[in-house]
Amino acid sequence: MGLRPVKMAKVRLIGLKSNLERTIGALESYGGIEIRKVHAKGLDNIRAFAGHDETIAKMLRAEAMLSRMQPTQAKARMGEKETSEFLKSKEFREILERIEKTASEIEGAEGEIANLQDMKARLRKFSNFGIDFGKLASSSVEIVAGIVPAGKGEAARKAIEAIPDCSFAQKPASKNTTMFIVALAKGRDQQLENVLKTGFERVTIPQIGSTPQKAIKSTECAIAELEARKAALEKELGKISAQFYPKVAACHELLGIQAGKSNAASAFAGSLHSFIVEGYLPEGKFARFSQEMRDEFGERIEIIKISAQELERRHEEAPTLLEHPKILGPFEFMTKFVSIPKSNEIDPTMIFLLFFPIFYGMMVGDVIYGLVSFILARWIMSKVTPDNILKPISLVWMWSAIPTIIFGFIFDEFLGVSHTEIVARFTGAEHVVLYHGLERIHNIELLLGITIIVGVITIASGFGLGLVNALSHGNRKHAIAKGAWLGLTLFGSAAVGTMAYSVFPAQFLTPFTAVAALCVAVIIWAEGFMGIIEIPSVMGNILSFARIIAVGLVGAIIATILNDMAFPSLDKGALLILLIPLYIAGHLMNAGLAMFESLIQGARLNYVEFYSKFFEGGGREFSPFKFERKYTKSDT
Amino acid sequence: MALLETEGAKAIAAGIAILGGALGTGLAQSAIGSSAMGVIAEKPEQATRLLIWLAIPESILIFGFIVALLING
Repeated sequence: MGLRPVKMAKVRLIGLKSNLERTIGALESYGGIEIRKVHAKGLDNIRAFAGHDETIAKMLRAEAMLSRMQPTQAKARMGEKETSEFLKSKEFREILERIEKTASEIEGAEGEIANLQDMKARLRKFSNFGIDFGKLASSSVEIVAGIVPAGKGEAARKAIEAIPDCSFAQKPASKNTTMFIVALAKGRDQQLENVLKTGFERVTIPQIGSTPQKAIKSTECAIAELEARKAALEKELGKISAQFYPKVAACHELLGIQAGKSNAASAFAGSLHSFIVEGYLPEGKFARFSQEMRDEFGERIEIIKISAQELERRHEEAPTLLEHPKILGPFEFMTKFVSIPKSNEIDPTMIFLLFFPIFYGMMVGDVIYGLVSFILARWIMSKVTPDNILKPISLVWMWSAIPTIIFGFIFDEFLGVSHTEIVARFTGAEHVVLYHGLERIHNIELLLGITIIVGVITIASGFGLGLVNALSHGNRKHAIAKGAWLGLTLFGSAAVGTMAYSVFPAQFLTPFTAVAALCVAVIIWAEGFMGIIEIPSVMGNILSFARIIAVGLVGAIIATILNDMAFPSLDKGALLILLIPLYIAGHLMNAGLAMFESLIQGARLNYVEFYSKFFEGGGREFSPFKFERKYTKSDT
Repeated sequence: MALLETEGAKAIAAGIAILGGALGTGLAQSAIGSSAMGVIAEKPEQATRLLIWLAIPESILIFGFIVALLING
């Protein structure tokens, strides 16, 4: 844990090609090294293992089976050897066949049910006619059916009546439509032209040998039989799942691992008899890694270490590994949310932990809202899944509730009013004065000054960290420029404060201004005249911290309005029924708004104003070569 | 001209400062907001990240707020 990511070293392994598979196994088993694809002149990258495509095909088949099964928990994880033997067994093939057969029968039954449901819906439209459709077939007469919207029924009837040698019947098909069955001489379809113009929409007559009512009944029976069959098949699949899901899942997992290992071979480069591979690992763990490799391969492997310092000298970028206690997890999320730091720059997680709660606490700044935000955050956490983005955000809210309560006491704000007033409102006890707080609504100018000072300190800290970053990279000119910016921020602000608000005695004005001017000269020397353009931007960054008081005031004023207009005092009589829920909901909404707005604005002050002074980002997260195992365990 | 010497003139000036800031912020946010919606339609996982971008132009309003405070102070 610290202000920098874990130091990463690079490792180069050279070994015998005959040991390639064992080496990949050993690297996976170690689980703490990120393999990097080697591009070496004169050496080709090694192809995936023989049978790779077959492994992938098997894995996809197992995946398809798993998607049809009902997931069940494994009682114990299977060993690799046991899983591998099961994969080759006749039992595994038989299980797959059983699943495929059952699932395919279920799909077939579902398809038939859908067809029959569709048929039933079509038959219903004809159910009012009571005609035996089996008797309608004729070599000289054509039967045409069609639906017409209710308003056009009369026009359609007239058009049909106009057709010579034709007879028809009409019945309501639904609430808003009428069904017509028209009998006309075969081959006289063109006579329907005028009928079609009335909105007559032709409907296929179901191929049934009875009346629609009878056909509906027999369709319903067929559906019921198929439903029963489907239920029995699903029960059968459930039984297979309960018995074999963990085994099939273990096979799928093992096949995935085998495919992953086989694929990893392509990161290796090799000659006829030897291979070379490179990877990154935490520098502190190199000795253990080296020992493990020696134990496995003895002298038949060459291990070369390239230290973090050497990587820095070569300007080679290693992957970034952030290591913090679990408790800082949500703040690490906030860092990664913007960008992952490079492995050789400052990790801003601890800085975020230090600054963000202060900004957030100053913005919400109410004891009761602090408690409410803590409870709301706990509630959200209990409702969301661990991979939901709201989980780490809720944790940040929970942590930030502590400074919110502290600032609430400093500002003497309890639901937007002082402790004296809140005690008076709820208990009737007048003039209870325990202390005098810095109420935001009555001290706007003072607090505005304080937020600007917070801004100056934050921006100066940013430049300070930028100075440290530049020094650690050995970039002296950049470090001098950062130092000059730091000086300009501090002394320039002090000069302005002294001139406009007499923050310091007047005799300090000249030296402050002189140092600030000297800093400007250094900036011009280090960054050129373009550097001066940045001065208004830094001023804007500092003034931007005024949002702390602005956002805070909004919350405090909404709370005050609620207290003035909706406070449910006993003298309100029957109105209390309305006022109590309105008062509670109003304050809950205000607390929620304050939580959300303060999170966004607090994060923004860090990301935009603060981080821009020292943070580069754009790092790549360390991703060790290992596989997640839920159903299998390694035999080694 | 007497109007400009009254407290009312200060209040109007403060109002204009806030109004200008609010309009500027609104205009900028409308452009960012519509672009953000386009991104969210394709990549919903970026929604939270885009909220930060949406908050960027609020500085303009904050500057208006400071000016308003200075006028009234």
